[in-house]
Amino acid sequence: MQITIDGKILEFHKGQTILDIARTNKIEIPTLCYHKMLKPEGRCRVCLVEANSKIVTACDTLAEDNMQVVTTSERIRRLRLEALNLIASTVPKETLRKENELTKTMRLVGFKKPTYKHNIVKDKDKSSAAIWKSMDECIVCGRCVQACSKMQTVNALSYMGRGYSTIVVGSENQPLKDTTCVSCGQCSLFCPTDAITEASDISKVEKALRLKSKIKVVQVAPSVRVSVGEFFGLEPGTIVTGQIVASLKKLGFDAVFDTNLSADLTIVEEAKEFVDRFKKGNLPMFTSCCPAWIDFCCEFYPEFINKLSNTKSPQMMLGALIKTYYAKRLGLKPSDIISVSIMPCTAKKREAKLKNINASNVKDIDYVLTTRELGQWLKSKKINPAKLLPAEFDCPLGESTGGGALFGVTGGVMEAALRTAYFYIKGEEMKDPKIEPIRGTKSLREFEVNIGKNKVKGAVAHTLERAREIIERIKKGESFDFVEVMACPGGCIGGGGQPKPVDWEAIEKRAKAIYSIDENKKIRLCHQNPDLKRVYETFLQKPGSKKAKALLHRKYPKRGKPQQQD
Amino acid sequence: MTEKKILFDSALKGAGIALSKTPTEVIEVVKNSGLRGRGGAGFPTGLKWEIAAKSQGEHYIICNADEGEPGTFKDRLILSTVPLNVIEGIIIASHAVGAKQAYIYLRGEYNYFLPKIRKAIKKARPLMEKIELNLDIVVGQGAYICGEETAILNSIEGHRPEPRKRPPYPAEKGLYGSPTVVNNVETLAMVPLIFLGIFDPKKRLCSLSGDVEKPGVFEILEGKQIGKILEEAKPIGIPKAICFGASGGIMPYDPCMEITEENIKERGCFFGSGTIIIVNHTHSIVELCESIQKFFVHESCGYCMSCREGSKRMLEYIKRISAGKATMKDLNKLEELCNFVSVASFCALGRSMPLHILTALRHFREEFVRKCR
Ligand code: SF4
Ligand code: SF4
Ligand code: SF4
Ligand code: FES
Repeated sequence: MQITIDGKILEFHKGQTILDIARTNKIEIPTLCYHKMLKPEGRCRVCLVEANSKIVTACDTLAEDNMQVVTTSERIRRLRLEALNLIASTVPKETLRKENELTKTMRLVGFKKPTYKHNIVKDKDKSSAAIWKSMDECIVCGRCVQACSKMQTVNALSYMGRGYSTIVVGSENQPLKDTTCVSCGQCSLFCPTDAITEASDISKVEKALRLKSKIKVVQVAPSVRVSVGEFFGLEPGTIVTGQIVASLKKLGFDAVFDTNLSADLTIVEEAKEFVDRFKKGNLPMFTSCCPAWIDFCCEFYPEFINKLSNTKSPQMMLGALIKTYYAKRLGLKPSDIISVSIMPCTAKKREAKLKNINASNVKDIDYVLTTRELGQWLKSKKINPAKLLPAEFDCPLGESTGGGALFGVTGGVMEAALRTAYFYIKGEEMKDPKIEPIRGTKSLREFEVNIGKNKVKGAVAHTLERAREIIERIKKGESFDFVEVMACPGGCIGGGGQPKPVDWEAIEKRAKAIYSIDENKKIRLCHQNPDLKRVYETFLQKPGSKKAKALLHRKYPKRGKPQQQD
Repeated sequence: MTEKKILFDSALKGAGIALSKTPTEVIEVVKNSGLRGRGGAGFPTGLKWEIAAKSQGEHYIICNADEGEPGTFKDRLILSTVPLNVIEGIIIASHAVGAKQAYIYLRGEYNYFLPKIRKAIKKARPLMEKIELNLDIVVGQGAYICGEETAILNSIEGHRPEPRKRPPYPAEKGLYGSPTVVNNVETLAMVPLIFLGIFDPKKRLCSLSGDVEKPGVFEILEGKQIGKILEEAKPIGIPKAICFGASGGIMPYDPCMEITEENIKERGCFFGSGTIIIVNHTHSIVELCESIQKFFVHESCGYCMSCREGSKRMLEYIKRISAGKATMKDLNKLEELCNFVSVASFCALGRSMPLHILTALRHFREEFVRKCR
């Protein structure tokens, strides 16, 4: 079939929209509410074009054979300007001075300043430990609601009111913390303005850094090192591990530790748990490193809570080691240490505040910052990591293996865990640690891996829509041994705290970078981590020991999301 | 207001005849009758049924009884006088497209009709059983947007009443993604008359109100002079303008104008739901527009930016004009905004919202200009 856009005759296939065809042929049509990873809803009316002499929105109008489309004309230009005038008038002036998708579209269309008076919407919600919502900046593009209800099937957000008083609220107009919200942060990631953001902790961390009497330590999650460079003009997937360490030192931290090390530790404990359960039953075992997934399972599928692995997430494991093992080595009380983590994730903010999550008698993790917050913070301090000399993570919690690195990407936990489980079951190492069938970007992947005579049947899901799908299938009688779930698209590299705007190409580039970190490591099997070996020898004894259980494993509620402290 | 019986009571006879025919024959008869939708868009009813019948999946019939257009009350009269005709229409439509489930989507304010409708359903039960039809009543959520057929689908499915993108049209993919015929009350009430051989496509019901002594529902023959109709309704004062409901536009009153779709269209207006509101010399058109616009600001569903924000800004302009605080530049900007909203909005509600202002500016511009600085 053929369509003519601005005089060019182009081929297309059924089901393509005018925008799809234009973009594949490098014809620019400005959009705002449209996002490639979501279903077009046609709410913002910016992408207007003329199709067969009628004005239509390009993002949600299917192309027809022999359609005549005009994307640039004086009429179209004026209509788009009017659309932006109406939209820009709904947000405060500061929003129009920031760099965001709204201002980007404004530039593209050539729109300067709204002529209507802004009327203030006073609805603010700071109830959640992970997500803040301020409706004055909302342009009702619908992305957050769609991400929450379709991609995550959580339905924590809905619309309230009608006409110009329409706003996005927690479902049934409840504060977000009282909804089913699992804190994944996808709503904030897709928000084209800053109407929904992470619950910001930058100022609290800055204040803590000024406390002279404390030792300030920070950890960096696997996927942050392949994305934070994007704030400084680097390509997605540029690995800036050493530069992050150097920047954090510049910001004033005393020690910078690697969450990849505790990812190794998670694998050592989780693979042990899996092998035990594989022998004794109680399968499938679900991974437990994604707190949004934990919330989801506890909230929507309490009958599966006993299938969750009880190993803590890498963030909490390193938090535990920092406030016990590390404190002991330095002869400090846990309360002498401020422990901060840099995460791709908003759910980790809530995780750090859960009841019964701490190994020490204080909070194991005091503050969590997202990749975005780190980027913002560095920018405000005029620190450009790209211009710094790389530095090394600190002893004694700085060494990591390729397996730990994989935590950042969907399928990574599964791959690393099976490498170690292989060793536990067979007593020998895998010849090639790359387990191909686990990899890929499909949002639900199933595979079988042979370990000696044993067949392990596994599944990997990312986005909670797919998690729901696999659970429903298990409920109908299908059986799996090991299931990995990550709430965010692509895994933590597409996490709710990652750079905006998100797009799938960036996620894929970050994934590639994660795999290359794994490949370039001399040691790729988590249980061979030398720092960890020392931790076990001098402190934890052995995987699954009483002490390991006490410090590195957790309990879940019987039903409903785990509760927060305070 | 007198609620005289205005439609012939078919008393199940029309449906009886229709059910003795095959679905294809029924569709053919309805197609040939010339019946068009009476809710607004005026789409040929038989054709709609045919499209639905040919689409795959379970089939649904929805009777749109969410009469929300200001000044429109003909469906109310039909439901209170000949509810059985409507049920018959539903039965015949269900037979034609093969639906086993039908709904009456009733305007919230009309729920006092429930006993009457239930009684009519009871009477029709034997015929419904014959075609294994189940008929439920859904009481609406009190929003004007629910008059929009795709918003009804969302409402029945339990979602927020918002319109859906078309295509796909409900007749292809409607309720729960299945082919669904949405017909208005008056349309369905006409269907049994077709089978009794007494349907005349040139006659339609019209809700007449405004500055008249005897408002009510009138059956008008296409081509009748508006002045003749007003003789019956007895105008109060000197009629100045006709307003075709909130979304039909405003035009000057001309007693000799014959009521035909074309004549009304020529003047930029729209007779979709058969609403005539007579406006006399004591009213200012600017104020009329202001009150209509207030209605739209309240009823915009909020889905698309153009209608959501545009409605509010349009009202701001009109208020300023009405208060004598606007300039000619404002007036031009208002017109530009109206043109934007009428092409850029997502659904028919938004696209028809500016019509009252645009037609008022066309026919009564001096009333606006006089108020501008
Ligand atoms: S954080 Fe996730 S679950 Fe919570 S509202 Fe946002 S998208 Fe929904
Ligand atoms: S909060 Fe953000 S994502 Fe949600 S509707 Fe508003 S602008 Fe869009
Ligand atoms: S997938 Fe990763 S980033 Fe997303 S919620 Fe889970 S742990 Fe956080
Ligand atoms: S981008 Fe098409 S309507 Fe918003």
